[in-house]
Amino acid sequence: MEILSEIWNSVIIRPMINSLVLLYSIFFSNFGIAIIIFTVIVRAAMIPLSIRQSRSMKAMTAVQPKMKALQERYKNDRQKLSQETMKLYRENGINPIGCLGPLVLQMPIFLGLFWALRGTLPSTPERLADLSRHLYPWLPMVNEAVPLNGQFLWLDLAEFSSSYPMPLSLVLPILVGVSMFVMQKMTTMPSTTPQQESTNRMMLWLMPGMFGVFTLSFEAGLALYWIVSNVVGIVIQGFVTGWQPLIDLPKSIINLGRPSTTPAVEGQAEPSDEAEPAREADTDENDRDDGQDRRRGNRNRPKGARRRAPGRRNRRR
Amino acid sequence: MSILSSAKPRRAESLAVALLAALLLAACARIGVPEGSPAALVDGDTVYVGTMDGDFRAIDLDNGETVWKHTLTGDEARRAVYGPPALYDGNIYFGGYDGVLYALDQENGDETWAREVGDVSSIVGGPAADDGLALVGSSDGNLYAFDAEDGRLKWSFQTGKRIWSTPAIADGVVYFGSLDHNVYALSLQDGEEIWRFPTRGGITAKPLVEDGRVYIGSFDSVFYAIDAQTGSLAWRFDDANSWFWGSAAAANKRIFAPSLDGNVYALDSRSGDLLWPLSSNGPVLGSPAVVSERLASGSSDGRVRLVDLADGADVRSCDIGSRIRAPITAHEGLLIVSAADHSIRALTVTASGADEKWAHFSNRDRAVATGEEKAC
Repeated sequence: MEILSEIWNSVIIRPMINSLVLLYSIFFSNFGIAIIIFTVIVRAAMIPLSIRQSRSMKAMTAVQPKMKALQERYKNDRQKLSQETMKLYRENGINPIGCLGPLVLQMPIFLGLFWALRGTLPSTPERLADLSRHLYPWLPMVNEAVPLNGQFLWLDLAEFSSSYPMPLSLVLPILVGVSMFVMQKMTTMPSTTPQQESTNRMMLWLMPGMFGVFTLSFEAGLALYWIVSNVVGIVIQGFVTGWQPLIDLPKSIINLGRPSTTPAVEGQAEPSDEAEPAREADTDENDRDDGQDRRRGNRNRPKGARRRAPGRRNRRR
Repeated sequence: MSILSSAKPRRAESLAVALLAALLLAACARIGVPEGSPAALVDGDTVYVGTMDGDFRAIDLDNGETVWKHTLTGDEARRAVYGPPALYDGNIYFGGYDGVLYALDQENGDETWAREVGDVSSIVGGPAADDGLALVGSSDGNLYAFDAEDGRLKWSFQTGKRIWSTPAIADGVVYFGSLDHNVYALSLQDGEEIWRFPTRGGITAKPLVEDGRVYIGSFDSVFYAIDAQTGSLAWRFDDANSWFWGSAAAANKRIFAPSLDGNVYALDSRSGDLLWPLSSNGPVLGSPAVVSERLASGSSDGRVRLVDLADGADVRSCDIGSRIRAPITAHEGLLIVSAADHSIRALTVTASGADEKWAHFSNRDRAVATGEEKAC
């Protein structure tokens, strides 16, 4: 366990902490700017992973109707189902755990960032003393910069978000919650089943709400990191999969709390009756955009537009 | 209906994940809570010490029982004591991380006065009192001088960053370090600056004033000897591998400087030459103490080590079993040691090392009899 901890510290935490302090020294002894630049660099370095993950998830989503059909057909033969599933994956060039790879690679980096930020912004004397273990003795610049000045805008980045008077103490939790909500909205893949739609809807509110509340218990510097990380994530996602979810956001918020009007991708279980009018209304727009979407590889389509309207194939014939 | 029922397990899974994340993050949040590293002061047959449980106690030196205790009154989340207390004219002075400087009656712990310092910024260093004044540094970057009798502010001095260093008073001059990298010498009377000595790192240690020199280490991993009158450099020791955090001790023309690299460096006080190091397996934050011709040092590795003052040989150690971050206090053959397990222990120095006299656990609010949970 001790060896693992040493590896974790040497490979992830120490380089991150020293980089953060170095950025602080270079950029006007302003830790807020150091956090922003560092977060942007790390997120940018992970763009290839993010894109890969995004594409992997999209491919998985695309074969869901066929998967469901296989499940129906071979519901009494698990071995056959397994074989056919693998065959389906092979034919579509999907690695079933392909979307997990980038996620697994990103996790240590995000966890490391979390700990590095907390370590670099010690809010108590014992934690400042602990910081000395992480700074490279051969890099005098970083040792001379400590303790860092945590002032950024109206914030002391080493202070707990809840330590500000009301309503200032609510600013960071709200910004964290809102940015995370938008980020989730941008990254949530189209639901393949009503159950998934329901789960997505719950998580869409639950996670931002939870992180908003957590923000009160953490240093303001960490909240700044979450906000910047979400904003950078939104921008990256926008360029990779399109800005439509962001454009549709006001409409989505108005529709939240109502029963789902977004049926699953084609071939899924029949949606409820309430879904029909909305689907019909979408049809013309889908028809208009279809050619363009095919050229773009469906990348910039809104969630609802990816569906094909019922009966459409018959009309073309 | 079937859709609703099949959605339930997924919701349960999601909620479980969310709750797990909440628990993990809540556990992480505790890291920011100040623990304190209480340093003791012994006067007569009483030990005066702040605890890790948000109060300040007088403990009987003979048996470790509580004589009186005074609970800190500031913000509950910041009730911790870091610096050593000061004794002056029947009052005990100590600073709380809650940003309050307390003056208590030495006899019964009654509050003589308590002052919120600056804009209620935390106090980490201890106070110093002399010549009718009680001085304390604050995290707002000011050194404050209060009337020792009634707590009225007499003067203040602004530095560039937090002051976590305990001031030292000698011959009408107050010396202290600041996290703005400077060592300051001010007139005790009015707070006028006499000199300042720049280093390349923050300073948390209390200056050691001895034989006309000020000895102090910095986060730049250099230990300095400064002329107390002029503020000019006498010598510097550059061989440490990490910051100097705690205060140095002196005896027999030797300076003992604790470093976060795990060593206590024994230096020749005239030249700064390294005589010998006492090594441990963890950072040494608290200052060492000299007792019975031996040097005692506590380390974050949980051990108290005793060595011969002359050559650093004959190392004896006592395993407390919990991080030691506070300075060690020596008093007539006894060592008072505070550890992170909320214990305050009295160790009798013997030829073979140390023998535990008593242990007082502040979280249990009672002394533990000798032999019950003996560390050494």
